Amino acid sequence: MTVSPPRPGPPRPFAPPPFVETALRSGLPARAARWGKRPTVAVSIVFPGAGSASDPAGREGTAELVAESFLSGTRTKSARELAAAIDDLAAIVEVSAGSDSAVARLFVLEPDLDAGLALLSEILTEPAFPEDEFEKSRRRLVDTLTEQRAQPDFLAHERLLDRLYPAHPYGRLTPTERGLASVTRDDAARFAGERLSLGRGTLLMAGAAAPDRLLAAADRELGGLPRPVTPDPPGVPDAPAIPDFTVHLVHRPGSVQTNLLFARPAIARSHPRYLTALAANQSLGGGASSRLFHVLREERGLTYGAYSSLSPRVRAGHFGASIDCRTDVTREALGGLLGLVRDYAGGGPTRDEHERSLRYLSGTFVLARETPGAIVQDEVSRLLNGLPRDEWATWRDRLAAVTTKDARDAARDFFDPSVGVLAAVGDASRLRPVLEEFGEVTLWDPDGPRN
Amino acid sequence: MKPGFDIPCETRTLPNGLTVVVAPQPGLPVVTVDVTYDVGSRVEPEGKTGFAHLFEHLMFEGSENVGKGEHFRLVAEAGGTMNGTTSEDRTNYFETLPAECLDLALFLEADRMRALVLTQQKLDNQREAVKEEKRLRVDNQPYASSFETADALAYDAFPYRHPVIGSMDDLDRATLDDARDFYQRFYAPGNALLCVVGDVDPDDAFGRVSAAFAPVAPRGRPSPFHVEEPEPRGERRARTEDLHAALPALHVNVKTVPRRHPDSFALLYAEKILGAGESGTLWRRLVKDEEKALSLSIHFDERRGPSLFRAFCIARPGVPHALLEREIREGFARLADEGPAPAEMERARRMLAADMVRSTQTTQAVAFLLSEYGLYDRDAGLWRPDFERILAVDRESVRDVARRTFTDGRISVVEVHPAEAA
Repeated sequence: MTVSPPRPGPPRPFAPPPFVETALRSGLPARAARWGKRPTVAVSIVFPGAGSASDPAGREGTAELVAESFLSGTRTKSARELAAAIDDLAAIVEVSAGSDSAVARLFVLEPDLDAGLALLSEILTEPAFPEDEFEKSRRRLVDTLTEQRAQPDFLAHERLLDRLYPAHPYGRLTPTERGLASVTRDDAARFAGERLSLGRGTLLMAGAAAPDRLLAAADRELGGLPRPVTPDPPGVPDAPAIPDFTVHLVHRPGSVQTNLLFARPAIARSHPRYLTALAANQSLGGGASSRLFHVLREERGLTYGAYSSLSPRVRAGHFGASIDCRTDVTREALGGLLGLVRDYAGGGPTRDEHERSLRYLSGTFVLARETPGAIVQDEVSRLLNGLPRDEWATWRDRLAAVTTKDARDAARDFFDPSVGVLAAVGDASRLRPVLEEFGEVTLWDPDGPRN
Repeated sequence: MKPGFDIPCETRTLPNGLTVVVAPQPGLPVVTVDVTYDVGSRVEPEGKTGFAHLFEHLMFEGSENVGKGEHFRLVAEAGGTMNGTTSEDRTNYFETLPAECLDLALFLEADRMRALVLTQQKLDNQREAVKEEKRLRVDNQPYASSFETADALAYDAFPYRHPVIGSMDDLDRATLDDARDFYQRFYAPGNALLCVVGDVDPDDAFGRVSAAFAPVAPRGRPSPFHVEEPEPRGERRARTEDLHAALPALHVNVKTVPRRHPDSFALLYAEKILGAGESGTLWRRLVKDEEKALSLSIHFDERRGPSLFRAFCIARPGVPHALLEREIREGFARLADEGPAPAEMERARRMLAADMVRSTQTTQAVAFLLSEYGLYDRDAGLWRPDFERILAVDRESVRDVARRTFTDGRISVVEVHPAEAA
C-alpha cells in the first residue's frame, strides 16, 4: 500500500443502559431501560420453560400451536376484532415459541403504550382458543411444513438438528405433522394456562421514555392482574453424546447446488468459556474477513459464502460450519471446509487473526444496540440463560481479556470435526459417490427416512 | 397527524461534483457512511445483464491503496460492518462503524472512487461468486425465478424487464474492458452521493469528507437515464413450471406510476389496506379466514420509472389458481369501487406513520432514506414533506387512484405450477 489507512481515534465510551428492576403490584417482575432516539417502546414478557423443548410427551408441537393461537381471539374479541385492535394502534404484537421459552412481544409508539399493554394483557390472560381457529392454526402449520420442505436450507437444518440431538427436544426444528395432529385445543389451553401464566413471566421494556414512566404504564395495565401459581415445567434433559462423524444426504431432485452443513456439540450460552469460543469462531468463520470466507470464496471461488457459527441454547449448544456450492465442486468445497475447520481446531487463530476478531466483536457490540428492541433482547437472553446482572456492562472488558491461547484452546475443545453431523442437500444421484469419500452416507427424502 | 420527530441534515457539493449529506444523530457512538451511485441494472443493454451487480462485487476487490481482501479486513478490525447492494435504479456501498472510525470509511470509499484496480483474475473470481449467488438465491429456490418471469411480463422496455442478477450467459460474456468502461462512465464523483449519519459534528464531518475526497478528480457525468414504458394495453398472462415449488403460486402485478408521483402516496394506503398487519383485508380473507392461501404479500414496488403494485400468493393445497386470481382481482376491484372504509383508512394512516418511526431507528436506515432522496431528487430533506403528503391522503384519493390503477389493461398474471423432477 502506498498510503496507509487512517488510524481510528480513541474509542468512545459506550455502556448499555442499566435496567431498573422492580415488581408490579401483583408481584410480576418488571425491568425497564431508557434507550433509543424515536418515540417507540419495545416490550417483551418472557416465559421460561414454555418453549418447544418442554412440549408434553407425545404432544410435540404444543408450544408452537399455542403461540400461533394466541392471536385467534379473546373472551371479548373475535380473531378479526383482535386483529383490528392491534392494527388500530399500528402495533406489532406477536407470541412466539423458541426451544427454551415463549416470548410475547409488543412494539408500539410511545403515546399508545398504555393501550398496547392493555391489549397484550388481554391476549395473554383472556385467550379464547376457539376450536375453529385452533384447527385453522393446525392446518396452517402443517401446510407451512410442506412449503418449508421445498427450501434446501430448511431441509439441511432440519436433518442436521434431528441427527445432532437424536430423540432430544432440541432436535426438532419445527413441529412434525404427527406431533401437530396429536395436540387438542384443550391441550393447548392447558399449556397456555400453566406455562404462559403471568405467575411465570417477567416483563422487560425499553424506550426513549424514562423507565419510571414505562413501569408506571405497566403497573396500570398489568399490575392488577392475578399471577396464578402453576407447576414447574419439566426440565430439558442433557443432550446425547455424539460419538462419531456421520453423513446424511437429503435427496432434492433438480438441485443445482449442494447445501452443506456441518455441526458438532459445543457449549450452552451460560458456559464460562462461551465468550472465548465466540472469539475463536470469529477468526474461523464469523464474517467476510474470516478464514473460511477468505479461502473458499475469495481465493478459490468455490462459493458465494462460507461461515461458521455457535448456536447456544440454555441446556446445550453446537458449533457449525456451512457452505453452499454448485454440485460439480462439492468434493472440493466440502474437503476445503472440513480441512480448514480441522486445521483450525488443531492450531487455532494466529495472534493477528485473534486481535482482529476481538476488535470486530467489540465494535459490532455497539452497532448492534441501536434500538430498544435490541436492548430488550439482551435482557431476554440474560434472563433465560441465568447470566449475571453485569453481563452486558462488562462484556467488552471480558472480551478484551481473551488471549490467543484461550481461543486456541476453545478451537481445540469445541470445533474438532472428527465428531459431528454433516447434512447435505442436493441431487443424490450425483452427490452420493462424492459424500461417501467422507463417510458412510445415510440417504433421506425431504420428509423423512428414505424407504 | 405529525411525524413526531425530525432528521436534521445538511447538503454540500464538493468541487469534484460529489454531493455530500451529513445528518448528526448524537447519542450512540456509531456512524454510517453510504455512497450511492446513480447506476443500476436498468442501464444494462441486452447482452450485458447482471453487469451492474457484478461490478458492485469488483468494488470490494481492491484499489490503489487497498489490497485485495483488505476492504473486508480493515472494516472488520475496526469493529464495523459493510456491504453493497444493487437494484434496478442504483448501487450503494455502506459501512457502519464505531464513530471514531469515520475516517477509515471515508478513506476506503474515496480510494475506490478514485483508483479502483481491476484485473482479469479479480473479474473471473467475482464472476464465479456472482454465478454462485444466482444459484443460491434464484436457481435453487422455490418461486424465485418466477419473479423474473413476472417482471419480464409486466414491462415492455428492457431496463426493468431483465433481472438485476442477470443471466449466466451474459455474466460469462463480461470482459475487463466492460468493467473499465463502466467504472469510467458511472463511478464518477458527480454521479454519486455520499451520506454520513451518526454521532458526528456536521462541520467536522464535512471537513473530513472534503479532505478524503479532494484527491478524487472530477469526471464527466453520464447522461440522465429515463425508463419509458408504453401505456399498458391489455392484460398479460404467463405460466411457469417450478421444479422446486411444492405448492402452486400466483403473481398478480399492476404496472403503475413512478415513485413520488402524486398517485404513489395513495397506493401506499392501498398496500396497507389490502395486505398489512393482522387485518389487511385481502390477506385476512385469503390466508386467515378462508384458508385459500398459505401466504400473501402485497407490495408497492416503487421505482424511478414505472412501478409495480405486486400481489404474490402461495396457494393452499388443492386451491386452483383461478380461484386465487379471482379473489385478488375482486379485492382490488372492491377498493376501486367502494374505496376504503373510514376505519381502514385511519388504520393505514397510523401504520404508515409508525413505519416511518420504526424504520429510521438505525443510522444505516436513515442513511438509506436520505441517500435515496438526495440522489434521485437532489433534496435529502424531501422525505419530510413527502411524509406529510402521505399522512394527508384522504379516502376519496385512495378510491380514485385505485380506480385508475387496478384496471384490466395494467394487470399481468403469472401462474406458478410445481413441476416434477425429470
